Amino acid sequence: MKKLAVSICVALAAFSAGAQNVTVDAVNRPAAKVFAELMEHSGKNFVYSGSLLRGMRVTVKAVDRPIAEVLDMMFRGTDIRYKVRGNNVILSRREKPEPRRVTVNGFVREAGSGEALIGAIVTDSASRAATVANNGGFFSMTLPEGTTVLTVSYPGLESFSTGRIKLHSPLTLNVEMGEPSHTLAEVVVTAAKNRSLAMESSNVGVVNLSRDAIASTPTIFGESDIIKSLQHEPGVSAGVEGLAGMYVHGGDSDENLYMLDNIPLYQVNHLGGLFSAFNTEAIRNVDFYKSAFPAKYDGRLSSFMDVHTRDGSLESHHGSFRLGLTSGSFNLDGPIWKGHTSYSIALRRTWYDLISIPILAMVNHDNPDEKTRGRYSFMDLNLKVNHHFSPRSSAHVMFYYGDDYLKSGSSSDVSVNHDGWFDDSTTRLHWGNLVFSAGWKYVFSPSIFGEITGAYTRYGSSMYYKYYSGERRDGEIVSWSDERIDSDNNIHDWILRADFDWRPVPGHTVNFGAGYTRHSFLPGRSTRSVKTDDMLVTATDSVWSYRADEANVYIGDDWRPCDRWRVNIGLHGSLFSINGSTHAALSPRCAARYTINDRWAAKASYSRTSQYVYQLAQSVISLPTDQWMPILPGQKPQTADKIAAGVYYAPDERWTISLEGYYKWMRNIVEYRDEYYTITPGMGWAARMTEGRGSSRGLDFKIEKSVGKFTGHISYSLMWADRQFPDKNHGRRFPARFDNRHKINIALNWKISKKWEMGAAWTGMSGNRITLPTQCWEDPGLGPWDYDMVYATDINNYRLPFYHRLDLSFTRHTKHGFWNFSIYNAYCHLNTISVYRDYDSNDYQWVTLPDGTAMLYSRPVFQKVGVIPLIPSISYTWLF
Amino acid sequence: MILTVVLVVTGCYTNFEPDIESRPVLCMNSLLVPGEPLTVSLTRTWRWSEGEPDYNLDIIVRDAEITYTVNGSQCGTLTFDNKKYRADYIPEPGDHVVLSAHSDKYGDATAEVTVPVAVAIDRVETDVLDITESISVDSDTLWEIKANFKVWFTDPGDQENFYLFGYDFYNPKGMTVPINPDDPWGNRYYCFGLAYCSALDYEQEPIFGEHIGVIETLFGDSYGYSMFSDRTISGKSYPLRISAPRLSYKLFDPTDNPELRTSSINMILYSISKGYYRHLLGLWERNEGMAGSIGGSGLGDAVWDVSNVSTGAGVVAARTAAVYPVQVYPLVISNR
Repeated sequence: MKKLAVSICVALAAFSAGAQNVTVDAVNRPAAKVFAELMEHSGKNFVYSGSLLRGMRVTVKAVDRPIAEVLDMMFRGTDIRYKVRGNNVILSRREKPEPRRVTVNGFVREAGSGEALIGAIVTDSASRAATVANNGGFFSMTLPEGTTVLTVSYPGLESFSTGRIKLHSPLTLNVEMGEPSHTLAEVVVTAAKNRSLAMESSNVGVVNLSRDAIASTPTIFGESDIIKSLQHEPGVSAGVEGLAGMYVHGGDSDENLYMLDNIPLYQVNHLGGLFSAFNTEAIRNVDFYKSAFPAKYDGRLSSFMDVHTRDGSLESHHGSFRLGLTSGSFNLDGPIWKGHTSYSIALRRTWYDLISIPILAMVNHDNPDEKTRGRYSFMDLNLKVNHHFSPRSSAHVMFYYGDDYLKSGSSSDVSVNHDGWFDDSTTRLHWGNLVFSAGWKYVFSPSIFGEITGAYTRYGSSMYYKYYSGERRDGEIVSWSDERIDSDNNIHDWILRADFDWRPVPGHTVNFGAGYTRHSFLPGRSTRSVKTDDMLVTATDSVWSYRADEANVYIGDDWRPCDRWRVNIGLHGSLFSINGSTHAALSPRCAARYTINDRWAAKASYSRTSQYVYQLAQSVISLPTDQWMPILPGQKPQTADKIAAGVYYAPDERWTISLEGYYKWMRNIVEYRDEYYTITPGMGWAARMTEGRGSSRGLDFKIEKSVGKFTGHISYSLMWADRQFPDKNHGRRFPARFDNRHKINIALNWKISKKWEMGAAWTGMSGNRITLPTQCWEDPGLGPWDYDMVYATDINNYRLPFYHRLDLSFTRHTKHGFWNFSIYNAYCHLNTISVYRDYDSNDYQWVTLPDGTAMLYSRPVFQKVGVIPLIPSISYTWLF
Repeated sequence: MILTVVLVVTGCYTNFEPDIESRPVLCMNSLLVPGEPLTVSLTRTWRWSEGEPDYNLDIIVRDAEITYTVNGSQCGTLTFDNKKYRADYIPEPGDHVVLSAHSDKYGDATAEVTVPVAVAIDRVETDVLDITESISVDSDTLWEIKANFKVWFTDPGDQENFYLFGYDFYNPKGMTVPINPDDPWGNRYYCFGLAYCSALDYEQEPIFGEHIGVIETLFGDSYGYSMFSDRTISGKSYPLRISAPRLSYKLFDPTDNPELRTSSINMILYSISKGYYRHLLGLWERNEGMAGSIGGSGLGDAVWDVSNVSTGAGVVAARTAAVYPVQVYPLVISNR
């Protein structure tokens, strides 16, 4: 223990402002006591905060020295300064000089494959600052100079730590992360990431799905599917049984923007929507936004789904081959130039036609006078090549081609050996997407990452019909006619865009960018011709085609003002010009998260979105005739305002519980008007449409367990959605088709052992709404035949019965791959998809007519139609 | 594959009664034709599962009051007689008729229609492609003709016009004549001329398909529907291309009576009211079109039958015919 000085002598002399001498002698005495004595003897007031001198001791010896000199001696080497203001001496803590800052940036990639780890979190232990790797795996943060430990974490992978390092100059840190020694179920990876999104992100309603999470979701025919996985999310209605429909928070299917590496895809279905266009084998992960939207995204009202495809491994070749009940797929990726260039290729194709063609050939062989042709197939091809020029620079080329092909036809010829009629008909339909994009990623400075992309995306469908018929006499064709129909429907986009990620100062991540799209629309052009031996008649139904220019700019800042708050503010501006008419829209975005404590977080958001193109679809089934249309002069851009708020609770690393609410207002949305079919197609689609508004509101509740052998989630949605159009339902508000009031999803995954895994998914929801006319009226007899007249009724006046279904899947891992056994609709509940008006074929009775005639009468009845029973399926995937 | 398809398409049909209230309303049907007295069929709507009007359901409303105005003047009340309400009024082209019905039980219904003015067929060009002749054991001669017709008309262009093409046959009455004119009570011939065909072919005329979308052309059926509007031909002269793939003409007349050679195929161009036209479009779409198929299965927007009556049930329509007869015998003679 130090010995304290025991003497102090303070002599006072003449005192004048700023010039008063004092005497003081103190050795290691508490500063507060020395000041008390100085105050007493000098008459000066010393003003300071009580905590300023707490614990401070001083050693000073001065005899009749000016007070200013004494104070200088006392505070030398400390962070305390003083100011003399009249009779007051004000003490305060000297502001610390800003430490020099250095920027740490780099990429976070997966060990082995070199794939960017989007969303990896980089944390500085000294400043407790953190940042997130962007879509290129790039991160950047500016940190104070000094000693610290940097850690990089990514759910499901072994965390990376730099150990204690001294930051004194800019640092590039490229991290490769591998799997931990104790391998978790793949689904855990995604779930853990979603926990991070729930608790860390400021956005409400964000979901990330990995390829493996998608693959583990049981589906019909065992064909894993992104959209069908997302159908299990709260707030997402699935549409019609078995189809890959997606109706988010009461929106329509064309209000979702589907992107493949940030490039829009317009048609995302195969076989009428039974399968989506995304081959799971080609996918790395998916970001899905359903409530709060980053400033980068606009152009649709309801949701944004960005599918990130695999880059391919820079180190070694990998591949897989899968054969299922409906399709087979082949996937291969690896280095072209080890460490620099990689490729990834994924091909999926149905193989129905490989069976149907020989079967039909056998049938036709036995019947030479009549032949039947038929074929259906779909395929997807994903191709991607990545090249790393340097750690700062890389480029990629991506190609996607998806195609559905349907061919049917028949021919009959009874006149081969004698006189008679013959005919031959052929129908061919093609529809699908083509996407090509090339991009360059570059680290312009340690804090700015940019990506420049050029792309072309096209959706098109074409139909061809030919009917050739005639008559032969004595071996000579005496008359014939040849009818042909050619039809095209497509949309082409040329896209150029630049996106930047800037980390100017700690706590801020600024995203900004601009884009330009040249749209070309050909929304249905068909030519019909009838040619006979003496006449040719040709008619073109529609000659409309449009070009439109769309420009976008956006800026958004993800700001962490302090540990508890995170705010994301952005603005997306767009211009859409068509036929000399230009529309402009500003879409503000705002989202905030407040972390109540380590377990609780609360969020709120507001988003406005604008949409300039929409889809004309007569049904909820995806048909090749569905047309994408721009808004035309006289129409306004569709807009939606959405507010959302949520509370999140994560008691530990395993569990996340969330409750989110939303309210959405939609304006200028477009639907077919009542009795649109009385307006002939040649009058243009605009005449068949009506513009109106809609709203939706609801709650999404979800409990998710993300770690352990037993994982999964239980969710519940409470939803309302309605529409109102001046030319529909007499202008009265009506419920939307997918106004599914209650929706419950239970998705479980159980990793039984190293070899066996089991998945179960149960869905239960209020039935879809349909328009069910119940009444009839007397046939006026104006048509060519007699009909039962259907009486108009309110739109969507009937809710189908409660829908529920259980799907199961079992995966058996083998040395070289895995078997998947799945059961769709395991307890074989035939869900009602429709209601028909028909006659009861089991209830005939005799009735006597007024004229005395007895007739057999069948009772007219309403019938619920249930489809899709239990469907087992099996597939094997060989990994190499 | 077959197993898969069978599994998917196998449906389960269950009878049920939907919990939707339905209230019957008046249904008013009437077709106004110049030269024919006005008649109105007044019925009520019925719930599909209630029964069948032709069998066990009486939907006729007998105790209602129906009044009508013509060109703004109140003309009177229709009287109920033999299942229909009738008036002495005979419509004329250009008349604007308003029908109002009131029933204490089913409420009110009103509808209006303007009787269209006929648009004359300017001419019919006939091109006989093939003709065969055969004589039966009964000694009558049968010609089978394949011919194309161009039915020319000129749309007035001053207003929106709607048309319906049709045809019928005129055949003179057969007559019995003595084989030996000097023996009027002896054996007799039955002499006749008879033109007929099962159907004319409208497939070559694109204007009949203006209401048909592309995919409906592939999978739908337009047979029997021949309505069209003047949207693309307003004010123009236009030929409707009609084909007769197998027009038959049978003649037995040893007496060479010119009266028996007057058989004709009558080309009829109906000018129809807008409500008539819209009703036919709706009828086609619901029964043959894609929207009807999809809507009927609950997978798309609902399609119902189109009415121009205030209650949404019934059609008050009008049509005026222009007829152009094409003599068949001269065709045969000039082309055989």
